[in-house]
Amino acid sequence: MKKSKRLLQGANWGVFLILALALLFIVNYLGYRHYHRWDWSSASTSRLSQQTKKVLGHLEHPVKVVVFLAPGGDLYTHVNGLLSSYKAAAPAGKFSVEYIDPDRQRARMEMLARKYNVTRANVVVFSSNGHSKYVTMDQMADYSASGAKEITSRPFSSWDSRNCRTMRIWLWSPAPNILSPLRKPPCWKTT
Amino acid sequence: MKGTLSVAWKETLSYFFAPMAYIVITAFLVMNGLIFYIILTALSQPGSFSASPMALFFGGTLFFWIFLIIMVPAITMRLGAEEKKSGTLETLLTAPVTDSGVVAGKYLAAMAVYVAAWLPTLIYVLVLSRYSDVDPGPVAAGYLGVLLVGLFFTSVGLFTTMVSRNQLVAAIIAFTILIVLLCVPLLSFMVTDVAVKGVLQYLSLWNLMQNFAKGIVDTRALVYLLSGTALFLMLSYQALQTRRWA
Repeated sequence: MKKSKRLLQGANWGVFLILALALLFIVNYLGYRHYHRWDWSSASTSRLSQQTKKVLGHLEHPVKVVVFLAPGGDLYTHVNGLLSSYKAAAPAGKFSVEYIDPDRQRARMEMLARKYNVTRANVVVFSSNGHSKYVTMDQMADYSASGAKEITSRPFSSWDSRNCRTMRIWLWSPAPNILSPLRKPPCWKTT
Repeated sequence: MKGTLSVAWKETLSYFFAPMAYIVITAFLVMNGLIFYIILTALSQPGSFSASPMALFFGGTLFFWIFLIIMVPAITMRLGAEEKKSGTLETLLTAPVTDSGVVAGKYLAAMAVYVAAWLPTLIYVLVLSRYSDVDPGPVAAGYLGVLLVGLFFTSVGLFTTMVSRNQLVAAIIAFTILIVLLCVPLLSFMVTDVAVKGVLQYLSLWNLMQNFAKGIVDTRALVYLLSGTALFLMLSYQALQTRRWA
């Protein structure tokens, strides 16, 4: 009697656990596929302008981004934050990002570098519909002269992050004429 | 509902009528105060990197997680294990409260202690705002993250205390589960497979808390933490049911 009771209890636990884990998986899978991001900060480097959001929201061709940066690097978190915002603003499946750690993924790095014709280290490649363009580290951010470690935290944007948020768009836009490398983009004030 | 609230009230009172809650909260605040001081000192050094102190305080350092994975099991360990040991479980199970009411009540009481431990840290924000500009958005998002991580971790602690007879065993199991939850996603730095890396990054509590600290509220983080909480609460309920029939 006692043995059968234990067996029943075990089976009960097993079924319960399987159902609970299946439910957990489904909820998280759906949550992962369909998500939304809010930025509560007042001046964030990863906040997008309305114009950027508009372009991202109406992407015709899928955009693939390959980041050739080591995870511990100066700009990695900024690049990661901004690209996550891009991805969240684009329709599902239209914007994909691959991070390549140059120290660990040598073979993959060399393969992709050949594919996108990359000749420099620490770059971010944007490709869409057969076009590709890469952005180097000195184009992503501005280093202040006083200390090497001090980043003025404007990756991908222009010289004044408060006034020129819209400029982030120039980096990846699939239209070839906008993709021309702008070293010092003009300021477009959003307000 | 009434049963839930009376269990929650009774448990909260027994936390605050015993030295345990005060010891945990005091230790937590002393450690956090020290870390906050170190963060401020480090950031005010010439040539240091520029960052918001509160962003570092919320999950920006390893200490944030060390404190949490020690504090939460210390709060939850007595909830179920003690009932079993002192023989009051039978009284509780025959009281006019449903099993879900017992789980919810104990959970609310543990969360009350957790929130009570975090509330005094609002003083740091006040101190900072006295001497510099504090962006309220990321601070609010940081506290939201702290609350959600607390909900998740406390549910893990409640589950372990429901399945064990001994407080110490409950705390050690909870500690182990939390360490695993925290450390497995770190493997994402080692794997190269894109899909596996994506899953590990989704599960990463470090990334999630750093996003909250930057002011980014992502529904993926909410779904992960709340669904994890629901899972462990269901497991706690199931454990209590098993005890009823054991």
